[in-house]
Amino acid sequence: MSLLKIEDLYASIGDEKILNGLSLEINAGETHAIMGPNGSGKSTLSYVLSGREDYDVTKGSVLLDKKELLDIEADERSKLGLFLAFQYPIELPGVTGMTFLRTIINSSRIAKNLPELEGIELVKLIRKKAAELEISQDMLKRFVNVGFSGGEKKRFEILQMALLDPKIAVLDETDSGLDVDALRIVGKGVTNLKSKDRGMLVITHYQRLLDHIIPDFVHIMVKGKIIQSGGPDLAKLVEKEGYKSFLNGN
Amino acid sequence: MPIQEETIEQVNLATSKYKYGFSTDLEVDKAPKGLDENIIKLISSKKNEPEWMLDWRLKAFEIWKKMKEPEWAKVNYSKIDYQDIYYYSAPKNTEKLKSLDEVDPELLKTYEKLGIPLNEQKALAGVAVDAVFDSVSVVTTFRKQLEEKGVIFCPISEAIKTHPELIKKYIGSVIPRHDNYFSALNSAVFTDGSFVYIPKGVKCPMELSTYFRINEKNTGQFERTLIIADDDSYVSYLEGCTAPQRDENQLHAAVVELITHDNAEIKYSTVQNWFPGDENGKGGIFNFVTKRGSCLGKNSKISWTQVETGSAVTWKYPSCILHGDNSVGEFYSVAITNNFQQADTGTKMIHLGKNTKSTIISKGISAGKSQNTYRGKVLMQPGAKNARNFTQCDSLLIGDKCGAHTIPYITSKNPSANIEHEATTSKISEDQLFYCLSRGLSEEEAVSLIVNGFCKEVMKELPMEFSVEAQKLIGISLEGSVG
Amino acid sequence: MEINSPPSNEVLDFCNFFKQSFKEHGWPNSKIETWKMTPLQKFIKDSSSLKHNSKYLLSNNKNKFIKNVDINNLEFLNSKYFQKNEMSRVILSHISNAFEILVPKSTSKKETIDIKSSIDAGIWSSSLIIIKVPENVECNIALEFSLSSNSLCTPLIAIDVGKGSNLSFGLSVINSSKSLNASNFVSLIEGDLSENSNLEMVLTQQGATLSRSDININLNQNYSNYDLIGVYFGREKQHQDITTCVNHLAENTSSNQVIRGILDDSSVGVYQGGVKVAPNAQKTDGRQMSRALLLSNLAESNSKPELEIFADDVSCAHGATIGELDKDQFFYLLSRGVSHSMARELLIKAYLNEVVEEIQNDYLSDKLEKAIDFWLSEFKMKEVA
Repeated sequence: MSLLKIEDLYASIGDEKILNGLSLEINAGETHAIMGPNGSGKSTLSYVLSGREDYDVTKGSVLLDKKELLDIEADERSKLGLFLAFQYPIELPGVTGMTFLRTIINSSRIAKNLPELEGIELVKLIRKKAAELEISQDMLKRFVNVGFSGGEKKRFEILQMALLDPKIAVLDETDSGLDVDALRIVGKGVTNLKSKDRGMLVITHYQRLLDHIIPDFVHIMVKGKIIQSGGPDLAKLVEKEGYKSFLNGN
Repeated sequence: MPIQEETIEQVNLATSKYKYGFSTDLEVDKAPKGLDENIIKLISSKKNEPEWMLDWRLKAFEIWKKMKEPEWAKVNYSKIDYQDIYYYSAPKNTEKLKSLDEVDPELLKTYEKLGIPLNEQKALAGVAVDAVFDSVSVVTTFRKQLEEKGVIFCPISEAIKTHPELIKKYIGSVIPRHDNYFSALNSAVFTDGSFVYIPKGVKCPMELSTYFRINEKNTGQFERTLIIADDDSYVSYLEGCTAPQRDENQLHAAVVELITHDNAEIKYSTVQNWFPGDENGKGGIFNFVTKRGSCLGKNSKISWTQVETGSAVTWKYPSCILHGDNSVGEFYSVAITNNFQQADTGTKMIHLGKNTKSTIISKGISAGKSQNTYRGKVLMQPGAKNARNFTQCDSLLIGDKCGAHTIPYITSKNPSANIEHEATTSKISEDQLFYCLSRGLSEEEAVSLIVNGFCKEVMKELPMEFSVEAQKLIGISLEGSVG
Repeated sequence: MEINSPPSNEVLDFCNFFKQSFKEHGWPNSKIETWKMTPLQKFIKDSSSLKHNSKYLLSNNKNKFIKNVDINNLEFLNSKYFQKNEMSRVILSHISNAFEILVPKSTSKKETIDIKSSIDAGIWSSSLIIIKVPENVECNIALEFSLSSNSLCTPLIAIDVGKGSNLSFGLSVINSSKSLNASNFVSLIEGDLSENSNLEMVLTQQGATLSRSDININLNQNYSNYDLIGVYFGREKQHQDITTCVNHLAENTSSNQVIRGILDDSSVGVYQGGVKVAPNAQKTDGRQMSRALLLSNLAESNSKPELEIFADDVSCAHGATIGELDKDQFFYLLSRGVSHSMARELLIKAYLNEVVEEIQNDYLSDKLEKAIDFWLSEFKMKEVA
């Protein structure tokens, strides 16, 4: 039984149709990559999955563990185990990293019927995970994403993912704005989070991220739907020939 | 000759500080000085107006008599004696003109000198001109071509007779007679101005332009402009103005009303170059103007662009009332004051409809002993759901004897509306100046260049025909401000 | 200990002029530009039935600081600001307490002169407070006004900061009873700063049906600096008004005014902020940033951040924003599993916390933080209900 099942999904913003009958299934333990040219609807897919309000979903269904996600709001989806690593993480001036992490950890623990974590225990947990991603204590004292470099922002996203321990992680263009070193840290961080219980969906324009996070399946997305699926070799083909051949084929 | 070069040449001809300072000797038909009911009746009869128009004027006069001249603006000027002004002055023999050939050659020469050739062969390609001389419109060019598209472009005095239903419906609908002291005065005594109607679905094939000239001594100019853009139409309208160099102050109190219906757009551009007075603050025009547009229809748009370099005193707030859902209001302004000039100018953006959007970009430059004030208002009414405003107000001071002031009023009554306002005041940096000087520019050239850069966001909104002239004008206006 | 210092004959003599003027003109009316957005007559209906009384309580043994008003210091009231302001006549013709806080030279920067005043129902407290800070000291003063229903509080405060001194001054308005019924606070504050001096002002307006603080600061000498952190909270039908004017009168002076407002229910917020730069005040740095957060469809925010500049070598800027909570930030929190109400609360707190960070003085920042928590707890209770 698949962990995440997207079926015949249509979505638009205003008059513009962006997703046009997209279907995809991800089983526990699998890592899928969606690749596509600019404007193919990749980011829209990540926002529609996570429940952003600006999009109209006109048709289709998204099941996470057999539960329909489209009927519920963003916070409920997160509590069910969906995580989105944003392409452009949002700045929260006035909210320190520590306050933010404490809030989201305890929200998720309450949802899982676990006791809330406070004090030393909480700090220890955060510090341990942060150290793995080379996130300094100083960064956690700063306001969330305010004045962070591109690499810091993405590492902070992965830290949240590690702490929330989601069933399905969607990574939207996680390689954008990263230099080689940051890419390596982020790639390692994500790879460490692979598990037999978790599914991952990596959305990317370039193949380079897939050198660090090796996918089991690669899908090519054009004009709001998947037009071709295959193994990791498909990504190499895109790298070599670009998206042109896929566009022409369509 | 390409338009641009022609315009540059015209501007280059002007080496004196105010190149339009000459006056034209013409035989004129003048009403006696002063203002009473009889003068209004006389203006109305000179224009052969219907009874209803006269009644409308007389009512305005009643209202005006009960009003007080506003004192809240940051401007100081000697009290105006409203009984010491000629309210009607017209070049003789301008009535019943059938063609350009009948226009007094002196008049044609005047407009040639001003760089506004009225002869259609010589005229700037793609610009139709209504030339208003003191109290009357002397000629309107390209009327035939416009009529073919159904566009009405004529003196308002004529429209009152030929299109009374449109005038009755729209005049005073955006700026009621009692709106303010000067709008009441204008409503009583307006003598001419332009009327534009763009029918449904028509994109006006050329730029429309009115050129205002005050010539006679002691004469006030009270023009009235009314532009209506019906559903799905578009028009770009330009306004220019000059006056002779005279020692005494002259009053210009105009009213401009714009109306856009569904999906229509009006772009209104002004290069205001009335005589600013001399270096000692003597003479110059008092420019007290009420301009307002109403975006009645959904998705409609009104855009004001103004380059204000002239006048001794300016009191002017081109505004937008955003009734229609998704309607857009814009205000782009450059106001330059030098010597003893005073300007109190800005805009009002009143958001009523949903998703309405407004942008205000104001650049004020003060030099000499001048005072330059931006005064603006942004109001989000309770119905302005998801409305947006962005305001950027920048002031530049040149020299330590001038003043730059910013007075914005910002009110929101809807939580989903978003207002952002930014303002800065600074001077030309020594580094910028030095960089230009080291490249061989004179100080005046450098200032002109830097100020033009400072105004770029506004200047790029001007129609091409105007922008070259406006750029030069900025340099000319600031002459003598450095060193 | 209690401060009870009825006005001396000299003070009363001085106030005679204002009494006369009050008889003639009464309260300021809303035809006056600075009162247009705050119609007093809507809030203060019958002040004549109120009894005059001002009680102040001073924490710990600081009574050595408090003196009767020295007649020589009445000259502060001759300033253009007090002479021209329409509220002066109201306040000075009704004063029941007049005292000076004379900060000794030996003050330690760790101590805070903490003064509280409770205004009971049926009382009009009108007082004259003069604060004199000598040269080269650092000191902290916190004033708190707590209003009951049907009360009126109109303090007039003159602050003088000597050369090289730093004063952190807190003023907060809270309500002593739960309801916000006919409790009105209207203050006038003028500050004069000498060379190299600093005034940090933290203004918290939370209680009272109507609160208005009208603040005029004169940066009289070179290198003087003024920082204002003003936070107002509005709920129910509260009307919150902060009106300021900073006069840069000498070279190299700087000011920074940061205003945050939060408006719920049908409350109204007003910020009228002025920065004026005199012709000789070259190298002025004047900044204002005002933000208002609207939480309800019936709330209203008005801002008028003004600049009046007569010197060319200056750097002045102001910014103003009015809006609701940021949608992207809201979504980001939701996507991490944070509930709607908690996201709202977190973002409101963050919005206010940003200014707490800017406060240098710990005592005053703690105080503001407490005020924020108090407001949020009330807000949460309302949400639950």
